[in-house]
Amino acid sequence: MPKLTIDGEEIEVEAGLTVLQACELAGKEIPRFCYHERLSVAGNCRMCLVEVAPGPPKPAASCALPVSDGMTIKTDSEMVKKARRGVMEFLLINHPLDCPICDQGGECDLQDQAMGYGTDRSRFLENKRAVEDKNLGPLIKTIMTRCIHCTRCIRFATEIAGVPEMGATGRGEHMEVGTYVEKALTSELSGNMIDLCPVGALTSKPYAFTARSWELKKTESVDVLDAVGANIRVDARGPEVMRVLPRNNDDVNEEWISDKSRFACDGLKRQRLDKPYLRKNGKLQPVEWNEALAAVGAKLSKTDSKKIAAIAGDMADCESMLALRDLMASLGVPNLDCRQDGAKIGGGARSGYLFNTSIAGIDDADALLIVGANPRLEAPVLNARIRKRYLMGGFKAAVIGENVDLTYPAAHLGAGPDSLSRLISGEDPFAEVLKKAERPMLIVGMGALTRNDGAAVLGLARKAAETFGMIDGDWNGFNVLHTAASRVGGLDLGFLPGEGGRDTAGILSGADSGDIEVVYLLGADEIDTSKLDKAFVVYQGHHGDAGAHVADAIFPGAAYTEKSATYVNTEGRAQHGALAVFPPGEAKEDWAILRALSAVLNKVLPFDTLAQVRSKLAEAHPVFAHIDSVIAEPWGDFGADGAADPAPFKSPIDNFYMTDPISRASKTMAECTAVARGEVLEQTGTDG
Amino acid sequence: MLQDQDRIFTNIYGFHDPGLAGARSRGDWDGTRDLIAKGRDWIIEEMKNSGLRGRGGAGFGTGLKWSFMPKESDGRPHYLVVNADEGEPGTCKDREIMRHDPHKLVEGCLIAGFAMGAHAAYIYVRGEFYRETEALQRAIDEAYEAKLLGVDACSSGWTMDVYVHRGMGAYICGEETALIESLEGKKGQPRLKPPFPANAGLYGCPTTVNNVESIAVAPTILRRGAEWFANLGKPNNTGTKLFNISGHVEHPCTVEEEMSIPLKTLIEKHAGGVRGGWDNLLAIIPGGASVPVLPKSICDTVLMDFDSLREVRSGLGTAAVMVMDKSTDIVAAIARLSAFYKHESCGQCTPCREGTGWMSRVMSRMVTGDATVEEIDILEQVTRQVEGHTICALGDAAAWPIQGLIRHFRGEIEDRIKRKSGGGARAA
Amino acid sequence: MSLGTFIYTLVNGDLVGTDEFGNRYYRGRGRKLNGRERRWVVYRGKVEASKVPPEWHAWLHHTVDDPLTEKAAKARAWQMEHQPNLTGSPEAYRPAGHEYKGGQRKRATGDYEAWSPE
Repeated sequence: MPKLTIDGEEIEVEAGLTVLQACELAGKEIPRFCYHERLSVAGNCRMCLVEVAPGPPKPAASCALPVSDGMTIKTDSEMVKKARRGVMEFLLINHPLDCPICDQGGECDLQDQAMGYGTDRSRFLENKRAVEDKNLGPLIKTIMTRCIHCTRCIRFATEIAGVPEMGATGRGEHMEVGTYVEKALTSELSGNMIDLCPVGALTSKPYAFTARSWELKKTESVDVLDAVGANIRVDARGPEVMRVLPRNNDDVNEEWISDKSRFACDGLKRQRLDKPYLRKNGKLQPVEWNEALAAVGAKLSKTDSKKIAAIAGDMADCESMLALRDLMASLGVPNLDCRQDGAKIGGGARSGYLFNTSIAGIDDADALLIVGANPRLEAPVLNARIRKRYLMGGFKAAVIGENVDLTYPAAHLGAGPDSLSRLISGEDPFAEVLKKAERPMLIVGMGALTRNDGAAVLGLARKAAETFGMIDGDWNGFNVLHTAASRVGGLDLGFLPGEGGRDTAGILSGADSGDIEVVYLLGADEIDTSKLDKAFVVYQGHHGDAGAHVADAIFPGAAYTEKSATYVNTEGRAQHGALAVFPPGEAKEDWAILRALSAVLNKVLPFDTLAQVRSKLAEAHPVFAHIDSVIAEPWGDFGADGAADPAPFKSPIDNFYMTDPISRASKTMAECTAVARGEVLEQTGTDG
Repeated sequence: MLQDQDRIFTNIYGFHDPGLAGARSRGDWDGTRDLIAKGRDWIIEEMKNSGLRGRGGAGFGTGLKWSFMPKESDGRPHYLVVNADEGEPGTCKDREIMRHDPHKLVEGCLIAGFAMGAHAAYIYVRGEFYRETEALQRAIDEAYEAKLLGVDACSSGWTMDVYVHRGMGAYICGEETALIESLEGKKGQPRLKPPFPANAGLYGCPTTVNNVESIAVAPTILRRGAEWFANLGKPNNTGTKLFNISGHVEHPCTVEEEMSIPLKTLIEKHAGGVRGGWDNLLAIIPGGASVPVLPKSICDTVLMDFDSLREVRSGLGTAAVMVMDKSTDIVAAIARLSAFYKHESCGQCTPCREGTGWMSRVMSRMVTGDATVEEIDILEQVTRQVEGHTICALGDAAAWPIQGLIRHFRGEIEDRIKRKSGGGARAA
Repeated sequence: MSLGTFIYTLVNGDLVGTDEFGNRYYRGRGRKLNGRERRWVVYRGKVEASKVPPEWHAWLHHTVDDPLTEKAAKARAWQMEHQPNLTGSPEAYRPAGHEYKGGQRKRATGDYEAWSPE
């Protein structure tokens, strides 16, 4: 442990740290632009200069200098101050200083540090440089004149996102950051460059000129557009969600979020259900809450409980699923399902449907087998974690399923379950890799488990995990990658068919044949709604999507930014989301709607406040009592034996940008879809 | 004065055959096998004793540099990289070596490669040196044919491969880490140090980057002994050196001379003196574009070596002596150098990227006197803000000529400014 | 006007003038109050302080010695007629888009698009 003296104070730090990190540990603030904890060190902004002895009599870049024993570091000497002032002056001479019209204004590193370390006037009398703006697609707006060439975006694209599309062309003053041939970035994580950019060169295109950072109300919440449960900050002004930003959580998303999580928020303002509807004479009519509740209550109490069914959608929160489960139980309804995609999971041991390794645990793995999943589309942040592990070295990955670019090399072993069987029997050479690995892991995705033979594939995956020693003491390398934020929570709550109950497919076919008369959809849209024509459909949700169109009664609910709710991510980590804005119009928080319906039915649910719901949740499953932590689950029994259909696995996500009611309503996501399909940007390219 | 028998480069003017036969007749490839047989430690010790300082400009001890290479390989290969990206304005010594005496370099690669445990040497040649690349490649081909390179080179048991790589014409690629980046196929931008190339250089492997001249003199030093080389010149500035004399002299030339030769002697003896006589001298840049200019008063007495030139706040650099007589517009000359550095800055780090442009623009105004006297001080401060704050030495190189100008010719600049603004400087 | 005020005005008040709304202004005849004469207004109709126009308001509050009625008579064309405070009354100002004004307003950024069936 090297001992250093920083501004006269002695401190002992871990070997291998940089001087900048040591100074931070000592509580000294070092200004920086190019340095970022999660990116490689570039050392090119020269803002972090400090005086180091022993060494040459000139300031040294602290971000790139490893600590050594006996160093004396000065962070506030005259030389350091002068160096910082000089660098700041250089940075500003070609910066347009258009802060009043810059979207970064108010949250700009350059602004802050110019205040802290710069001078109040410029001695530069020449013309400033101007740089042509680049078109990086529908998400990122560029004003390249503001660029200070810190190369954070380049390093992010190359290292984290794994799409080496950004780079610098030209040299000296004429150096420009861009894609060379103008094109939209193909990364699912490109939005993070906006956060990384220390100035206003890269800003959010949809958010451009809509708000200033200081007029926004910031609410810390959780993302539900995939099953990773990325920690987000919802910035709202009045009744409107202006933008979504990532929040640091090293165990889940580090500080990244996917483009969908970040940019789909404009979908929260479109296609909203804001008043209750009832179908009268074949047409949906807006009605008062009392009327809608009474009508649904009457229908439910009239119908035989065996002919009632409930399906929870992909974004349902645990509170409302608990309320619906208990309400249905009080009515004696056995037909419940939270797996609207028909995944063959749940029922068995909890470890059979969790990402047991945990996302942070990926860092410890040394071999990976992906079965029927495309993590790049299904969970981009998690995929970035795998890439990070790959970059650390000593890591081998293989895929059974679609042969796609995952941003890290992965051997393609085959397309279907037979390849997995071959691997288990040791016929595939990758079996050796897995056997030799100390901490192998396996990710089985919804592309494998939503098939009719999902249970058999799950059994195969389980067999693979056991064969290759993935379950070994503390290490559990068996992972299920979910695509729905509600799924693990629903499974934990047992939102599953009861005794003699039907699952999603059964409910749908029953509704089609008339065996099911009332279907309660809790935000379920990803089902074949054409089979629901004959049944009386109650849709509770926030967007007028597939479910609302077939509904006979609509209860307007709250989207994830509009309620304080609990979600369990794919690791089995329960997290609280928070209310950032109120639900629009007459919409209500979802558990409260169900509580009101229970009163109409005279089966009053035993809670009146959110706190009471949450204590019921904690009673229902211990995970809800341990917020933001992962409970290691014992290995248990799950999956089924049996022959698997040799058909190839196919990822459930075809279009990354549109997977749920919110992103389907988003204009930004529609643009991204068009660009991804090559419909828009081609005309503006330089090759035409 | 250097005796003829002490010359290392005996074919620098190309009067003789540059091929293998000619080279052998001049003593190259003589007993190379025996030199290698004496072992790594002997070679490095001998190089250290010779006092040879790197000929690329920085003047770092060559033997010392070689000794930084790990003694035992940790599984990574070692590399020797020869810097033939001779871009320093006024410098043309490596060009002559590659044209007329390439076998000295090739033999040097083998010996240096052996001394640092490298089986591969890359010679990074400046892109504009097309014919030189051909000449060098011809020499390498000859050496392979004669089994002087390749598996069991010179029957020494050592395997050595030499590759020539052509640059694309960027001055910054002459910086050792930028050269490595460029060699790897990336954008030629200097790397941060540490780690130094001896730890992690080309492809992350231990690498030594040496100038062409440093490598080319090595075999002769080893053959004739460190003692011989160390006795030439002054202590700490030993040996012979190729000087390039250009500018306002009667006969511009490249000449091999002993270190520490007086500048005046060098010019009068080899270049036929300054045009119009020594008294017509205005200033001399003694070591290529990146060292500060010296006025005549200093040139009268200064010795041409690393330490003497440092004492007068200049440097030996590449020993490219640029002579300017009194017809020279010294401000315009330095402004041109400033424009050169603006053009060649890689743009990676802030002070150099922004500072070179700023300095160049102010300098171009100084040429016409379209400035104020205070701006001279601002310009001086800007050069201080660039110097020492950058990743590589290009920032320093851009700052020094201007500092030299302001130090020695401030009056000239002030006169112009006053003339332009209609001040009373005309009377003075 | 209460009976007390009526009797007091009758006994002590000198009528100074009447404004265009019919409010009558009085000056106290007798004892001074706090070193200055007493001035008061008897409203026509509802008692509402904002009914006093500016020329009388200035006099009433001892800003000027005599009411500015002459100046008020020479009002410029762009000067608006005095209006009492209408807040709380049916004539009160309501922005476009207010329920009482028909509820039609331009789109604001905080608006959402509601789903509607078919």
